[in-house]
Amino acid sequence: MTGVPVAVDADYFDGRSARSRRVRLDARGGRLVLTGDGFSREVALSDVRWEEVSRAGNRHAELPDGATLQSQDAAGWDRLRQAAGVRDDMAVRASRSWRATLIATVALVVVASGTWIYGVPAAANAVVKLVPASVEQKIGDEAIGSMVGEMLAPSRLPRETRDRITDAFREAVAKSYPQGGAPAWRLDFYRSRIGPNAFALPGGRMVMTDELVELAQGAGKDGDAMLVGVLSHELGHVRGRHGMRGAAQAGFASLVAGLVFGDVSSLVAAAPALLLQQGYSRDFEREADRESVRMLKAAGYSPAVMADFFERMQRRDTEAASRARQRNGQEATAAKEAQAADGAQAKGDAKGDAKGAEAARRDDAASPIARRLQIALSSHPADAERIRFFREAATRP
Amino acid sequence: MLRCVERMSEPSEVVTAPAASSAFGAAPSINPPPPSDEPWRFRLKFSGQGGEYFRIWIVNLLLTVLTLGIYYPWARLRRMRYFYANTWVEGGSRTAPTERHALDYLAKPKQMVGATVIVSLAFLAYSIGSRFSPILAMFLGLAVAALTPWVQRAGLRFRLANTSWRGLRFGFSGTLAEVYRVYWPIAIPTLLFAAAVLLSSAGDTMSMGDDGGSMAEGSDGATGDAGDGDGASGNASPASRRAWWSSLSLAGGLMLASIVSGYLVLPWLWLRFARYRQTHYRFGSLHSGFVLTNRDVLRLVMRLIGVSLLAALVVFTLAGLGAWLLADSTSVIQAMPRKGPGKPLSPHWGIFMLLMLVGLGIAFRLVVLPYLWVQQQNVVWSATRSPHVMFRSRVSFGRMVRVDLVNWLLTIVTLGLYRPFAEVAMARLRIDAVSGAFRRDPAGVIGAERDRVSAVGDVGADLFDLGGAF
Repeated sequence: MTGVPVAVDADYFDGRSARSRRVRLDARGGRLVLTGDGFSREVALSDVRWEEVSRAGNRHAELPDGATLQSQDAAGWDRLRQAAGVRDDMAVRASRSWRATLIATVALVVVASGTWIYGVPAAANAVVKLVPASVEQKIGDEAIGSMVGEMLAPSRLPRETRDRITDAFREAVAKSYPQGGAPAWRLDFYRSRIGPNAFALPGGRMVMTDELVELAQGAGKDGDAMLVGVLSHELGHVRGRHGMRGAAQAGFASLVAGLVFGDVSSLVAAAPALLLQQGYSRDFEREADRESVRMLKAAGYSPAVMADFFERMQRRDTEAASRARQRNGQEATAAKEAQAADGAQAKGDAKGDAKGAEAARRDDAASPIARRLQIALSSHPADAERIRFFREAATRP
Repeated sequence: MLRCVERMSEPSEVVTAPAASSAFGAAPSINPPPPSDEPWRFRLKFSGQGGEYFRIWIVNLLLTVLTLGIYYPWARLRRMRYFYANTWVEGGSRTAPTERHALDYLAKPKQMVGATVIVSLAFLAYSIGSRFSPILAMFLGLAVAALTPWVQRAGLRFRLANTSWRGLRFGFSGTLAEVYRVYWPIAIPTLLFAAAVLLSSAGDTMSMGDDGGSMAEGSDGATGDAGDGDGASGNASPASRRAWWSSLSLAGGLMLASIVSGYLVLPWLWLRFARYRQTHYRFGSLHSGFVLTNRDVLRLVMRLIGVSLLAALVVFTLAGLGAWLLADSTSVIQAMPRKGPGKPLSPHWGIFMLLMLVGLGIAFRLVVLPYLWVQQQNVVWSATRSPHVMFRSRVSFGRMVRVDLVNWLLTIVTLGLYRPFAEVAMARLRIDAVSGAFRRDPAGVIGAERDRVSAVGDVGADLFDLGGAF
């Protein structure tokens, strides 16, 4: 370390004035030696803070008392740094080599998908475990409160019907949890603006709409079994605390996206978070479907009733859609024109994108709640996969 | 003093770079002469390179994802430092030789870790809380809005206090009271909006009396359809019905006034915040100043409107031409989907509207927006002058459009991988356009007492996207 001549010219600033002083730097015996015109100073090398170096950027080091050294002689400075035994951390070394950064790019893709699949849900789960049940209950009550009046109105079903469904479900719960330990739940019926639907809120509050009950009752004797199946699905959400987990996941996803893309813009950061969220809520739906099958079987019903139920939903949606088409043939043309306009604008303006999507969903009665809660029993045409799932479950013992 | 500014206002005499480097080849132990009283002219020069920054960026990205965000403070520091350490101030005066010193960003990761945790928790609470309850979301939104000035000031303080040049730290001397005073004009649209909401809800309760069974309509009474109005005021007397209508139309008027005043207030707010920011930079005992007036901003807005109209006119002409040409080729007409049973719009019109919309979107993003950026930087920095220092910014609009277009296209084509190259290209364009002069050689500046500032504002401004500009 002592033999090689590493002296380099630098500007010395004492940290109190902007005046520079030309000095010559040398590293000798573990000390940095500064000599200049009528000036000399020595500092232990271990007390010098060497800033990271870029190709054409400032060569900069800070001394313990706030004085700084800067040099225009990049090569000399880097030699001195090396002689002084400065070791950059791994991240800095990696960014010096194209090969390392290529590996980093590949690793980034792998790690990002790993974080997507495991990291965010695990973190969200951990956070949700810390939330006390009473807080969760409050959140659920608050959510219901904000929907009553806006989207939900008191039920018009006869009291006996409501009691019969509640009792059937209570019996199914009791049979599915013979040792007890079922999650706490509470079932309310509402007439709604969102068509046939059912959803679970944090804290175990479940809501079923009159329209859903009526739709199931059209199926005759299987009707109650269908409703028990739907409620079991919702209890699956309650059991898995999907509402809270979904919210926490969305929070984490947008947080990570914000930290990663924070320097880009919040719009770019929002897109991956949105994508993540859709993937997660599909997983939640599958989990709830499994719980529905388990409870239906325990209560002595065939899971096939759920497949029938989804088909009824589908039929209703197509009928409603064709009715709507007949009713406003002319209007539809105008609406589509408007949609095309929205879509075109979106190309230039990412905010318009959301608007275009909104327009596309305008007819979808379930969307206001589904969008907000992500846990509603969707009234979209149930996909074939889901129907197959329940049919196959019915064939297994 | 005015004469001094006049004299300083032509900063093009800066000695060029080769001369500078030869000056530094000189014998090391000769110090620059004592600071002279001559004006000291300078210009900024950016030396960053896209490929180099790309490697820093990708490693930062990987480590941030790998650590679920824990690496963020280090990543942010490395990013900031790269841009600061590659920003050079080259300057000299008639008697002082040219000197060349870069900025540096010297925040310590330790300062930022705590701030990152605090801001992240706030962000999580915000995004979880606002999901379940609209009321909670509203309050959280209000809280964020109320904290924004605080965050902006704290961010500026942190950034300046950690920016060093010639061994001294900069500072920001704006007070908290001042930054909140900057935003008082927001009260105008806000109060109008609140009055409108109050009036319309008063109108609702006046007429809804016993209608508990039916679903409550939202407060959009003013735009509601006829059936809604009838149902709501069905069993009310004609007099109260009239009162209901007049209060609703008054509410609608107030709402309109609130929106209009919101737009009118925006340029004014922009000027007020720019003035706040540009007058409070400190370097030792020197401070900056700002001479932009309301009239200048009005002129800027007019220019912006002019450019927008011009762009719209060009798009209009091109769309017309395109529609006329395209509609002549029959294949396009056949490809046009015919919607609904009604008579379809003429294909000329359909193509024209489509071309117009696409064209306007593109023109806004690729012409109007870059024009706004260029004007903002040039107007703001060229108006930043005090008895101690003055700046001039001359970003070229043509080059901005070119750089922005290339950035935009390549970022899309490379799925974001071009992003770091784009940032570097933009930084070079913006930084190299700035020059200026100190009243006298800054070597004579004595450092001021250093502030202790928290990093919360800096991180908050980054994560909540509340940066200095609107």
